[in-house]
Amino acid sequence: MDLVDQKLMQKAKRGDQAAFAELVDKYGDKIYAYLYRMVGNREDALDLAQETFLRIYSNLQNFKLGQPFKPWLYRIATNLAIDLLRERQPVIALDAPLFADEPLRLELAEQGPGPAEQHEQAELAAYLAQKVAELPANYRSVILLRHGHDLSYQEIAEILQVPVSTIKTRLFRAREALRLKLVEERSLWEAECK
Amino acid sequence: MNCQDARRLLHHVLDDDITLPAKRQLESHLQACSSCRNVESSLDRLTTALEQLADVSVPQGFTAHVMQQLQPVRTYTSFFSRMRGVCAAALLFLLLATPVFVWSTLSSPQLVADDRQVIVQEGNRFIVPYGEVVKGDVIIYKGILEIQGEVQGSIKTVDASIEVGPNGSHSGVLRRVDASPKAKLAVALAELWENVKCLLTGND
Ligand SMILES: [Zn+2]
Repeated sequence: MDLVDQKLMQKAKRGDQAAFAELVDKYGDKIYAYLYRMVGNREDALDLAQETFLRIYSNLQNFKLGQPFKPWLYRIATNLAIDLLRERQPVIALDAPLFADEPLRLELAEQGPGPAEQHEQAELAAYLAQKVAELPANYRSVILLRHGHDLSYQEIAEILQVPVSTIKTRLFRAREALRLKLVEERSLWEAECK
Repeated sequence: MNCQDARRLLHHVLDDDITLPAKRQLESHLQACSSCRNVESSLDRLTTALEQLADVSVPQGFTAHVMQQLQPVRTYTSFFSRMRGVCAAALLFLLLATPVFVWSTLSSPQLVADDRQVIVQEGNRFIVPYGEVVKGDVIIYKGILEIQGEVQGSIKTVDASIEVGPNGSHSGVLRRVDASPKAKLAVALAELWENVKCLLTGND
């Protein structure tokens, strides 16, 4: 439990706006980054990030001290993102395959280390961002919350209101799918270079 | 250990969700199996790149912009923290100048709440009507607080009682205080503040 957060929330609950501003400052970048990856564009991400903190503020009195702050914050952000995605696309097939026509191939042969090691990290990240954006939202949120936002299985389960076992399954499947995409990308890249 | 098990465990390692014996077994498998070592390194590349996806900065001025949109919340305690500032001297002066007011305040039931306007007063009875929601904190001095609607904030009673109707609810903290001189003074101060505010803003 983050004691700094608890202290700030305690002050904010008493009406201390400076303490609340500190929380916004502390988590602003992360929440914006998370929402950006969830909804795919900066404009919506900015709106939702603001809305997230406004909701935190108007629900200050419902926050119980001792309750972890970070999962609560991400839960509000996640719900807002999911609501927006639903608005854009009212029907989401929850158990659709991760990448439409490609089943997971756990046994795929691996490439040895090659020139792809020098592949620009930035380029890799951009490619990966694209692939993450193509994941179904409920896989995307799990993978983002775990990597880059440092939330535990339990915390993610709390945020998404699903059992820990579901989180584990989704993480495994999403990571495998993305990893295979990276491996695939690398072999294409190597083929082009030959 | 076969490759399929090893690959599953590689994911568990990423989440610190692995026992020590299993980790040892995995390590010895990795030493012997180059294809699983490749999986390990591609997973490392993946997680590093995923972490980079979180390196996005919110536009400048974000915090200030959020803060501008906040509705001011006045709570019992924030009133006191404000007291420490410039208002303290002015209020103290007013308080000293109005002993009669304080006396009359203390002799009749009082209610202080952020959502005062939704609460109906009938004699010594303060009623939260059915269907109304009081989000902020409530302090009641003498008299009865009748909850037919909902009170989400905390309630502090000073020499007062609470009645909850069949559909009424209260989800906040409840504190009962004897009418010590300090509590009386707190109520008087809060009430005084309400009145000063009404005078200043011109609304009731
Ligand atoms: Zn193996």
